[in-house]
Order: sequence, then structure tokens, then C-alpha cells
Amino acid sequence: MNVAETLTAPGFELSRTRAVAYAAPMLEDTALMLRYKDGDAEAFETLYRRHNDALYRYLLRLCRHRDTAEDIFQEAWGKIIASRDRYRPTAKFTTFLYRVAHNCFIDHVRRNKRHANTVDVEPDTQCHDGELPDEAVERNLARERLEAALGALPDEQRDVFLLREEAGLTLDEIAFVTGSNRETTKSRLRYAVNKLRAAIDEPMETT
Amino acid sequence: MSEQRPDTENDPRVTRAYREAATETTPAAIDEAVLQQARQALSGNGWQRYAKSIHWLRPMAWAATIGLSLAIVLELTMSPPIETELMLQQELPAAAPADMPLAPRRDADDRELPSAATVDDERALAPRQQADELPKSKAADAPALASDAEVKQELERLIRYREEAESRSADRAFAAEDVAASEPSAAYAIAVPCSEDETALPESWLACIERLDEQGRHGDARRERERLAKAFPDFELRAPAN
Repeated sequence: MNVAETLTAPGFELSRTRAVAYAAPMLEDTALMLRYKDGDAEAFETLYRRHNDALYRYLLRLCRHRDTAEDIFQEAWGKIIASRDRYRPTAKFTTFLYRVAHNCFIDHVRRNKRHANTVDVEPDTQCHDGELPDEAVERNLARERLEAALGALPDEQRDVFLLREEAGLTLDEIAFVTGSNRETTKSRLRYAVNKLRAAIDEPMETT
Repeated sequence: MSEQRPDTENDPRVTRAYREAATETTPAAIDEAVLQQARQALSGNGWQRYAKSIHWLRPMAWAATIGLSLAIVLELTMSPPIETELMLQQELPAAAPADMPLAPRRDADDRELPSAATVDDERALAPRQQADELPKSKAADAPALASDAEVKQELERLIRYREEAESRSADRAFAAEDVAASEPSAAYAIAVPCSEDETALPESWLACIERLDEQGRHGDARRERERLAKAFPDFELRAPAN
């Protein structure tokens, strides 16, 4: 029984139309992808809006180069679009999406080594609404420390941390995306978190 | 034990700090480009869906082609006698009038083959006769005699084919049997102006000859007189008296 049928079942007062409208935002990613596979462009847009920013930030910090991240971002979504007819909901769409993006990044690294030597991510130094200048300075400093520590991480540890934070994947899912086993993934994540914690806790004078 | 150690893979402070730092959003231009690509993929998908919906068309076309080819081959292999006779009929002079009565088939024993075609037929056969080796020393009627011999040969061949066709048609229930049986009669009628009914009695035969004379077909009339004289010698003796 799907969500709409559940909401129209005895005990629920919602009409069929309202139930469908209510259930629409609750559609899972796989259902949206299947609807896009069947020709529903709006389903893809909904799916894209759910994941575009997180995937963009993941690639931005993984590549550490904005143009490269944007190229890989479009390449990954292009592959998702092109493979819609072969899509099978055997796993979470998020896992599928980030595995495609991860493989695009690996292909890019193999093609050239530019991402390893350049840092082209400009920090956001503007004050947010209602934020005092001192708070903005403190936030920027903490951000700079975190970004520096994140950039200093090995690619594998940074990849695992970003997959955890941006995609919200479990250790098993991260292991699947990165092509490694669970224990290796867990170890990499532990090292990454410890280094970032140390960077955050580092006294301001030393930064 | 590893399960009892603190979960060092998760640190809320690190997560909060990262969330505060990671605020980038996808540029609108990239959003538009990706969504446009997705829509274009769907618009191009229409033809692919149509092609999938008619995927049975290609094997069906192959099956139809093979079936048609087999039918043509079977048709050709099972009807060679009819084709041969039709070809032979076409070789005969095409000048035979359509309204000429068809001579009924006669038994080969008591039938005397016609000696010549009509005058019109002789004209029609003239180009072919020129191609044949005719003795140059013959008189002016030599082409007609050559034509008679040729017609005789063709009629003999037709009779043989008819007999073969009859023996084969006994085994097969072809609707073309009647056509095959009528082919020699049609060719026979070219050289036999008087029908079997007319030649049954000498009086009716003579009436037919007179009719041919009236029609100006003197060649036919002369040949029919010769046949009449052979078939009814007694009547031939009486004919001059009439």
C-alpha cells in the first residue's frame, strides 16, 4: 500500500486528490527517478533540487577547484540522465548518485593532476543577517581553520568525510561508493574527524 | 572491544562547524543547464519509445519477405507445364482473330493436321519465314509451304505438350487444367477454319468452304477442299457435279 492509498484508507479523512498532493513531496528518490524514466521531467527536477547543492559542495571540496567541480557536477548528472533507461532501484538513489560522481572525480584525477595542487574555493566573508562583525570574523576564522584542515586531509579521508556529511551515507554505503571495505572506511572517517576536531579546537593565536 | 569504544566517527562539533562553513549552492546557470539537458533527453526519448513500440515490425517484415519468396518459388516450381504451353502459344502467330471459332480437339489417329495457316496468318508470319532457310528455287508460294511445315511442327509439339499436360494434370487438381487443355485447341483453330461440327458432314463442310470463299479467304477454302476431298472422297467426286 503506497502513501496515497494509506491516506485514503478508512480512518483517514483526506480526499484522494489531497492525499496525492500530500504524498507527492514524500515520494522517494527512486520513485522520482522511475517517474523520470517514464518521461516525467518534473520528477527529475524535484530529484535534482533535493541533491544538487549537497553534491555540488561535495565535489567542490573534493576537487578544491571550482571549475573542475562544476565540470564533474554536470558530467555526473549527465550520466544519471543518460542511464535513466537502465536504472534499477536496487540501492538508494543517493548511493547511486554519489558513486557516479565519485567515479567521475576518479576519472578526472587520472586524466590530470590539477586538482591536487590548486585551491580555488573562495571563502564566504560576508556578514549574515543579524550577525555582529566580531561574530562574522570568528566564524570566518573557524571556517578558514576547518577548510585548511579539510584541504590538508588525504583525498581518501576527505572523500569519506564529505560523503558522510553531505550525502549522509552510512559506513557501508560509503564503502560501496568508494570501492573499499567497511573497516577501511571507518578508519578513514575516524582519522578525518580527529584531524578536523583538532583544527577546530586549535587556539586562535596559532592559526 | 571495538563496539564499546566511543563513536569517534561522529563529532557534533565538527559536523556543526562544517555545516556553518559549507553554505555554497549550485550556480543557477548550472542548474538550468542540467535541467535543460534532462528535458532534452526526454524530448528525444519520444522517438525511442516509438521505436520500441514497433520493435516487432522488423522481424515481421523479414517473415513476410521470406514467406513471399517461398510462395513465389513454389509457384514457379509447381507450374512449369502451364508456363511452357503459354510460351509456346505466344510463339504462334498473334494474328489469329479473337472471334475465330475454336476447333474442338480431335483424336490424333483420324485427324489430319492442317496444311497451312490463313492468308492473314501468312502475312503475319512473313517476317519469320524470311528468317528461315527457304529454298530459293521455289515458286512464289514457297513461303506459304514453309509456313505450313512450321505450323505442322508447332502443332505436333503442342499435341505432345498437351498429352504430357493431361498426364500430369490427372495427378494435380489445378484450375489451370482447362486452360492447358484449351491451348492446343486454340492453336489448332488458327489453322482449321472449319469447326468439327462443320466438318462432321460433307454438306456442312462444303458450306463452310463456300463461306470462306465469300469472305475472301481463298487459301483457307482451298485447303479445306483438299481436306474434304481426303476425308470424303466420294463426296469430293460428287462435288464438281454440284
